[in-house]
Amino acid sequence: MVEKKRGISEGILWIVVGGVICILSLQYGLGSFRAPAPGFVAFLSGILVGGIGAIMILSQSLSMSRAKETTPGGGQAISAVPWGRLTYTMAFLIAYAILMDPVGYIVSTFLAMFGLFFDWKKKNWFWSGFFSITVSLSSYVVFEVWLRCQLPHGIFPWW
Amino acid sequence: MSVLSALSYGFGIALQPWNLLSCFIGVFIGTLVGVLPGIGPAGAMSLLLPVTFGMSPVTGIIMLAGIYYGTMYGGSTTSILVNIPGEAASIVTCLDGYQMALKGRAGPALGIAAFGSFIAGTGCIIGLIFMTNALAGVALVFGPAEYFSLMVLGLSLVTYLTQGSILRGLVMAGVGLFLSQIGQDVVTGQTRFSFGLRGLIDGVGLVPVIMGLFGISEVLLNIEKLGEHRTMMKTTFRQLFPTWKDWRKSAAPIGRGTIIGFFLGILPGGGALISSFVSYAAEKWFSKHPEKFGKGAIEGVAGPESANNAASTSGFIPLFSLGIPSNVIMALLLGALMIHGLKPGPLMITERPDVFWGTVASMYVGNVMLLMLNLPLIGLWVQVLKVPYRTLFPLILLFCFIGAYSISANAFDLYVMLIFSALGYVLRKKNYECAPLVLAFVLGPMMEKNLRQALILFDGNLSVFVTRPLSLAALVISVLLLLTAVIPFVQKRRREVIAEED
Repeated sequence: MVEKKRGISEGILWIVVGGVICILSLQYGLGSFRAPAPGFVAFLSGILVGGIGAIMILSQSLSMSRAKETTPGGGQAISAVPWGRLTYTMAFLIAYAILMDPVGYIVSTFLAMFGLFFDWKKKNWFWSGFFSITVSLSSYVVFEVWLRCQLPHGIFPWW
Repeated sequence: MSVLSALSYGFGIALQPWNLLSCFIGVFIGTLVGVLPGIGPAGAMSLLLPVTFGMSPVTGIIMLAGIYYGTMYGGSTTSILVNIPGEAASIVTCLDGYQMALKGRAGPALGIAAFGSFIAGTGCIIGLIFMTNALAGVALVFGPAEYFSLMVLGLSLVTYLTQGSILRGLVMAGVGLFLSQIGQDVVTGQTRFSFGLRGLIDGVGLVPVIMGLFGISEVLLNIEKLGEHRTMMKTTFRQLFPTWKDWRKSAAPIGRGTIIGFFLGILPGGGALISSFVSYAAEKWFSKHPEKFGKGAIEGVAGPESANNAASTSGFIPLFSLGIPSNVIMALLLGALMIHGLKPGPLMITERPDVFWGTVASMYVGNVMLLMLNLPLIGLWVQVLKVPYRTLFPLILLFCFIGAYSISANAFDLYVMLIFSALGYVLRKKNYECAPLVLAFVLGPMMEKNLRQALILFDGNLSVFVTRPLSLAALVISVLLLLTAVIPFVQKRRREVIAEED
């Protein structure tokens, strides 16, 4: 039953997403079949997303009336996720993305790698620091110096 | 130019020092990526895409192609030794490969996987040469209506073959299609859906999307399992060569795997994963002792490993002949070709024979390199596997950041990548497949261009899509595919297959 309710909420979500896409598309005009405007295909994609959402609700409602039938693969409940570790990793990634341009590649990479290598249980300060310095410097040499990728210099413009 | 002279021209290009080096780097990185769980070929190719900007188109494409088929080789090593598939296409190899390893026969399992992959890869290159030429000739008469309908068919097939629900696959395709509309309109040049953000004026970048959906979200899923113990088998080089008896048992599965992989690889959505499962099912069906499958039957390694390599080679056929990618990897290669100023399609073989024949010949060279790499370097790959995931995942994340940033040296791409990594994480948790989204995202601009061209050319007459035979056939097959998926019997079978795959 919980699965079916989840299916219905999923359908509602996609109807809303499809509706938003359609409304946004209307701003750019749909044109006609003879001369389709820039919003034409986006509108069709909105119809597809919303339409499938409606079919999801319909199929879930129909199967609700049938006893004990299950739908495959409702997915894992988000509540079962180890949020602490995920939030910690994502926080470092967001900070890395924000800092990369202003601070520069080497410093931001060192900070991000230090956070990601660090093990809270083992408190491995030394090894995290060592790995972070090694990785940030060696990746700089490989990608910036050898492969000539354009990495940001930030506070060290001469690098 | 005859096929033979064209092929010798291709070898002339592939054997040039820079191209040889890029082929070697490609297959080496590909094998490494295949060995390491947590980063797939799409992520690795996205990472190295900016590196190819400084190379000639043919050198760059040779390297990217090498990564792809190299991954297929490397994926078998982890499946056999650790029971963890390094790559999705090697999932089925775990079933018998790991059982062989438990019985002390890891060497012959690794050996037959490498030899089978080499034979299949080589066989498929010959098929690729003839099939691409023939298909390119036919494709010259295609109009926008045919192209549009073929792309619809491609998307339908990918959606049909997704592991989860078809409805979810279709939603993903719809979202991908919308995302492809962000940026400048292909006909009028008007900027759409940019919400005033400068970074969206040229649209959403393919590499950040792929890195987010396949690279970072995979890491986020894997770090949930940090600390899981891996059991490793020991093997020596002397033990790697299969016995005469092993060869006798494996010859037919390799042949069948090559044929299955070749034809399924051409189909949009077919690809390496499905062909390996079909090959396994076929071998079980052909075997006089199906009860031995899952308990260490060498046929269960030889067939699927040959099939996934064959499919990875034949996937190039629709890309080179029609300009239509059959899977996410080919979509990425299409993007790479376009960045290098090339237009894949029927005219590419005549307009840029160096790229086509050079890449084809490099695949053969790459297959030889892989055979030489995989057997003696098994020890190295085993050492690589011993690196704990806690040490590995920050490096994978770093590579994703470098790959996404260096495409246009713009931090905006990093934000896009992070948004898609969160989206990919949630979607995959909820059993949504990201492949239809990416394929629709890549095909979107081409679909839009062809749809609008067809409508303008035929004065808004929608019947153009059903009065031209090829277009009609493609649309009918698409509709039938999607309709059959909602028939209760087919639904039940799909669920059974998905359950078996899980």
